[in-house]
Amino acid sequence: MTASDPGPSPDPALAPPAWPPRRLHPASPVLDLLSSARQWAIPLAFLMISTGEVLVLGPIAFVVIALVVGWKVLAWRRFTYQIVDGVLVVEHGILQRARREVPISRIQQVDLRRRLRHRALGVAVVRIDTAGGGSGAEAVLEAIADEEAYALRVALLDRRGVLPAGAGPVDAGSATDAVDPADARPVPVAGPAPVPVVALTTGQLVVAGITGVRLLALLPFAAAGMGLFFELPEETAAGVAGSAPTGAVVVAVLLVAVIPVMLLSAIASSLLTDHGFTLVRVGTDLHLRRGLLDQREATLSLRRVQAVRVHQNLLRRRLGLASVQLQSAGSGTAAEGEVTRLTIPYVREGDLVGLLDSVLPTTVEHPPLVPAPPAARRRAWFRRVGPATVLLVAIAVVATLAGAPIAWALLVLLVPVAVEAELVYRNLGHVGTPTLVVARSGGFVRATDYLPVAKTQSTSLTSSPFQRRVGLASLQLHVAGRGSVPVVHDGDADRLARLRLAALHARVARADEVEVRRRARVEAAAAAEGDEVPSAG
Amino acid sequence: MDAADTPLSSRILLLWRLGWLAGTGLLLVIALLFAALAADAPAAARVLPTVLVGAVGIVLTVLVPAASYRRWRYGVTDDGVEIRHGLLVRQESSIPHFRVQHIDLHQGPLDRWRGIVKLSISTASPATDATLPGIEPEQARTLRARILERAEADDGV
Repeated sequence: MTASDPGPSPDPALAPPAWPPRRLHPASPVLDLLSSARQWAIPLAFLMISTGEVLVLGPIAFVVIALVVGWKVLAWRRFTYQIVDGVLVVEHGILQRARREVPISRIQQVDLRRRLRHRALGVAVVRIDTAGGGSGAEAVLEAIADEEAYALRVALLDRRGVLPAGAGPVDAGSATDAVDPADARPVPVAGPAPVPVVALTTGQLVVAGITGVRLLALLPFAAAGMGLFFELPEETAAGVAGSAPTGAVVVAVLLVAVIPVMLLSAIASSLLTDHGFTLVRVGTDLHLRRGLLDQREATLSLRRVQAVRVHQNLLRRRLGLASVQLQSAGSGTAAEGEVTRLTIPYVREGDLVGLLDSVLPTTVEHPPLVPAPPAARRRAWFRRVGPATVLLVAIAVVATLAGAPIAWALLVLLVPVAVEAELVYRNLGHVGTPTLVVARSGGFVRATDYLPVAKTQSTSLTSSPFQRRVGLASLQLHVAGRGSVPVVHDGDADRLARLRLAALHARVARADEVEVRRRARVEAAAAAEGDEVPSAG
Repeated sequence: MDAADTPLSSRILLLWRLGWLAGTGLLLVIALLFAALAADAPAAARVLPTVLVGAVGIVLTVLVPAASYRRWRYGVTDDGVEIRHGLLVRQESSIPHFRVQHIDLHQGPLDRWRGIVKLSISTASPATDATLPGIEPEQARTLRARILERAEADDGV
């Protein structure tokens, strides 16, 4: 919950103007081998054990591994990175040499990742991304010593007038085995002070994990279903020769056993991925840090945030909680897709507006959502309850013909379907302001999209014959980056046509946004200067 | 300033019809295979599906491409590119000029035979669907020049 405290005075050695050629951490050949171990170690062991030829295969494997390590050491010797005149130059290759030059001004994102094996050695993987939405990262530096990685990140992001927080432990070598994440918590070097946006405690992550279990939100229905099971034992016993009551018991035991396991695994996965979740705003950048064993640190330029989606299932709505997903432009594989879609798992409803305001270029204050016209309710019901009824009746008829009329009880499943249909209709809604479009949809899990008009790339208004018959349409608003497209479902066709025209005037909004960003940069730079003058003296 | 009022090149009609014809042919082959396999079934049950598939296929081949062609309209306005099409599900797409990242002209062997070009417009969003399936090459080049001279996309995000 705490903001990173302003750390010790900046160490000028951490952000040198130019970087002489450097190699990766000497452990990188071994790390490389380890990272591929999963693919060869188990088959190899299996082969040795199954053939029993350990004495023959062992030495062969040893020689092959030694050769591979030798090759990797050679590759390590050839791999250098340096910064020359504002260009990151990465050279590598044993037989075929390659040289990659990335102008620092084009770098959008520098992500750090440390798996367990990296943390044991005090190194990090640095991924460098540019704006081009190519298939992979622009450059990946496997295994750089922690403090060097932090310093490199500062150097690479420096020219934007934003010095990110995060020059790890200042005395190199002392606290490198950062087992306690608090040790390695970023401290600001210079530049604008980091503004905490989100910091999650373990308790909050546990709650996020528990409430995130989708099936749990359906628990009331599951209970109702089980009640039904227990009320029908005689009939079924007569029908299926006594096997059904045992079946019901099995189902009950399974539910009793499965639910705790589900909960525990949900909590565990929530803690594993998001332990120590901190989202900090530094100038115009967001800094994310999370992970228990596999630590990730990402920076994301605020102007790359394209849209925000707020998810709430029934349970979370009852508790006043939500999870928030920021969608950003970028290559799909940036830091394994995590940064193109950054998810904040736990946000209180009361904090939502403040959070959205701090990550989106426009204010998210908006008039109440316009509900979908009543025709949309008929559509929601028809599209969900219709197919389900047909399917269940068909099953029941077949089962009756086969001598098991009990199958008609399956029709009780229509209740949750109908509930969802009604929820789908009630959740539908949208509203457009000159700078923002808000669209809400979903059934048991409600999703609300917040899309700044300035981010709309193109629009598409679609209508099926059924929609046209009742004057409805759907509006897709395309934004940069992979991920789901915000859609206004089943809105009034005329309203959506007007909304589409409004979204097309993105140009005005965009000009505003560029202006806002420019001002923010100037302010950030001014703040950086203001900080530096006293500390340098 | 003109709205979306330009049709595609009428030369694409033949290609679309051939496409539907090929689809019909494929279904016919499948229907015939079934007819051949179900040798025990009464003659009517074997012939009827084949005839039905063929008849419906031919009718659709005649009707759908023509109707779809009639609905296809595109145009360049002061603000951007407008595209309207769709027979059952109708779609109206707009791409503002300043969002255009690049424009591809594509000509497959069949397109070359008919002398038409496929033009597709890309923005920073992979979801943008703006492809003109067949226009005259001359028009494609003019259109590209016209859009590009107004395109001023920055990094697009």
